[in-house]
Amino acid sequence: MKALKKLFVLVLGCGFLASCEKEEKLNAADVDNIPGLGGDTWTPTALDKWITDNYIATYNIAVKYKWDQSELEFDKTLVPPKEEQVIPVMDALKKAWIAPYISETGALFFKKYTPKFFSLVGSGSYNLDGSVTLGTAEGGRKVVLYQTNYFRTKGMPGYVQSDSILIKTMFHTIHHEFGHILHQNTLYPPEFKRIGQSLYTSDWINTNDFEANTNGFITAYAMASPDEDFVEMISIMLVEGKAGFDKIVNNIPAGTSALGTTQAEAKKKLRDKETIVVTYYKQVWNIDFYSLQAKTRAAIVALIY
Amino acid sequence: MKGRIFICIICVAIGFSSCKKDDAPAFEQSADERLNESLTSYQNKLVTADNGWKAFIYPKGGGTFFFYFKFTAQNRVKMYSTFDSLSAVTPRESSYRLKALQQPSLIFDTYSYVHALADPNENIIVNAKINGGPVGVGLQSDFEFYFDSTYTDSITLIGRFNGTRAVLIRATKQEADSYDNKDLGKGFLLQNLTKYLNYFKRVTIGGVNYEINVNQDERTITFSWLEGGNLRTFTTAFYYSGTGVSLVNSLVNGAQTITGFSNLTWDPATTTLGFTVNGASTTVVGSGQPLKVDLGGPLRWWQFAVDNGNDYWISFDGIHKDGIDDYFNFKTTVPKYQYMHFWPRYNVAGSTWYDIFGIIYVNAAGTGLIQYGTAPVPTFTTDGRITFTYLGSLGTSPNGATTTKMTALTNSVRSIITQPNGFYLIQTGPQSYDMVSALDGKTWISWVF
Repeated sequence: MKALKKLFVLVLGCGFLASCEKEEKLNAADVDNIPGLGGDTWTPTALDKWITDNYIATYNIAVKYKWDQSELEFDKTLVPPKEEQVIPVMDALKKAWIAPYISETGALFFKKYTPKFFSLVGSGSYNLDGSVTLGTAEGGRKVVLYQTNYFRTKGMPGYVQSDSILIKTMFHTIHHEFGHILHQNTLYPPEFKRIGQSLYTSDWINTNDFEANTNGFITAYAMASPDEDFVEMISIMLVEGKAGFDKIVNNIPAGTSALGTTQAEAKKKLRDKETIVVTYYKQVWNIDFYSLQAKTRAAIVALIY
Repeated sequence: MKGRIFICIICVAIGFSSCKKDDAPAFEQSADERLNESLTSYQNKLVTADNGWKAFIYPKGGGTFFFYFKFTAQNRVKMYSTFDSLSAVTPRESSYRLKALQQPSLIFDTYSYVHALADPNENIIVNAKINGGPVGVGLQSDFEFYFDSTYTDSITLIGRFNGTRAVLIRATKQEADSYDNKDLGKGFLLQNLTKYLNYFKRVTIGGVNYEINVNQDERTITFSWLEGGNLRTFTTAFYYSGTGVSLVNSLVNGAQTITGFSNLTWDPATTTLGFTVNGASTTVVGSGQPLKVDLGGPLRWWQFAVDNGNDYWISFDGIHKDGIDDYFNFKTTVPKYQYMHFWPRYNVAGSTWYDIFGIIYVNAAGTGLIQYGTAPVPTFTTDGRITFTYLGSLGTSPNGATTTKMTALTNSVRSIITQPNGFYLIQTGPQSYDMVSALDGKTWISWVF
């Protein structure tokens, strides 16, 4: 019996040892054959060269303008940008976003914190609630800009004054997203959250900017959460400039809003938020916000008027 | 007993140890190698067609669109498209690439005429009705296709997002030259049919008198003809092609088969559209009467609104007269104009029931709709017309300085609808009718419910 057991173990052992030995070698040729490894390739054009010269080589920022569904939402009807729109959009971004920051802080700051990847989409991204998404950002790394097929600045054929709305919206998006990156690196002071504390709501979609102003918020979206509030403040102040921001504050009418904010309270809330933003930029990033604001606004004005 | 167990164990052990070691793959090459081979062969097929490819794209949202593609080895593609009269004659270059997605796929990766069909249109911040499909959706077309099947001279592609079918057919030198020669634009002369003053358009093809009705937006055409005194109709989608206008389904009428119109001509001086069918040229002639009057049309139209909650018919474009849409400029004259309306059996005055013809606009406060118009009494004639006699005016005129203008406007509307010859009612859909003047067929209103 004992011998039998030993034999059994032995046989079993042999069986295992003998089973399925394979020789697996991975050779370089196989790896080279994997399609698309290292990214898509195509014959470069003048446009690709422009992007390389102006974004990749200068700021280490990639700009993807060719359709790649995997970068975008899978359930949305979207189209890629027109090739002739890519340079106008990216050039305008350089003027009204990159240049002002670099002139205030230096290239190192910008390269360190900038999103490294832009994805361009020709159309807007329509949501089920009827709203449209014009820009998204992911993890401070990637920014998707929509509606680029309709982007027109002064001097481009067919430019009309109302095109400035889209231009401003695009800068609004990028300054908004860059604001997120900044506060995700160093959070703004907690007092900011307390200013509008009781009024943050997920129902912001059903309000409009003017109503939001009367409650002490710069835009309707700012009512979504303190983070959005903070970056909407940054974005609107930069895009509209000091005069534009003052105008919004001063246009808050007398009386009390539906949510119970008086004119004086609403104005004070916006001014308090402004102060926190300005102080935050100075203390955390050593940036003179008003100077940045003046430069950004001047660049935008040059593209519009 | 012990021996038997022992044998069993040995057997099992042998069973375990007997893995087949020869695991040579079923294919000689790896999956990656084969995939790359497919991609290369597809790309070569596209590029080596010296005269490019004719293509049909059938979006999920409807329609048939003719394209011409010329691919280069440098990821560029030149194309024409019968999406509109401009894209048919203006070459556009954009980029494409082949990529191993779930299947080997062809991606038109920057905006081109292909994308115009898939464009979601815009109505926020910018207003862009690119293709007429719903905002956020478009015509549900595709620009990312996988290769479904390939033959020597054709390739079938299926869209990866909407399942749009696309068929590529190798073009000849002659065809390629004709597209460069702007031949794809010629079919669009058909759009001049809207310039005819008469509602009814007739054309004689091979001895048969056809009435044709073209829906330019949906690209469908309806042929009507008489067969032993009975009206026959045939509706088909059409597309603009290198030869002119091609019918998706051919019209077969006895010995006659119509597949499309070629050699289209347009003479603006005489408002005459001409074309060739089956080798014979013919011209479209306007007519004041339908080929056969729909005797029950007027009452059916009138009764439909009464039966469905006694609601009203509306027409956004108002009155079309003498070739002009919105002849009385409702859209620009009436503040906050919504639409023209016809409300049958609106109310009773004494013992006389009356209808309302008028306009509906938003009140000054923006909180409700106001109607203003003429109240006539209808008569249905035995020969299929509806006539109206004037009873009075009704509703609230937009106030202020526009009142006089409004009165003039209402008088104009009255003069049209009380015109003694009355109207034919042509049913154009389950809930749509065209009301056409029986006087000369040059005035009409398109009603929808």
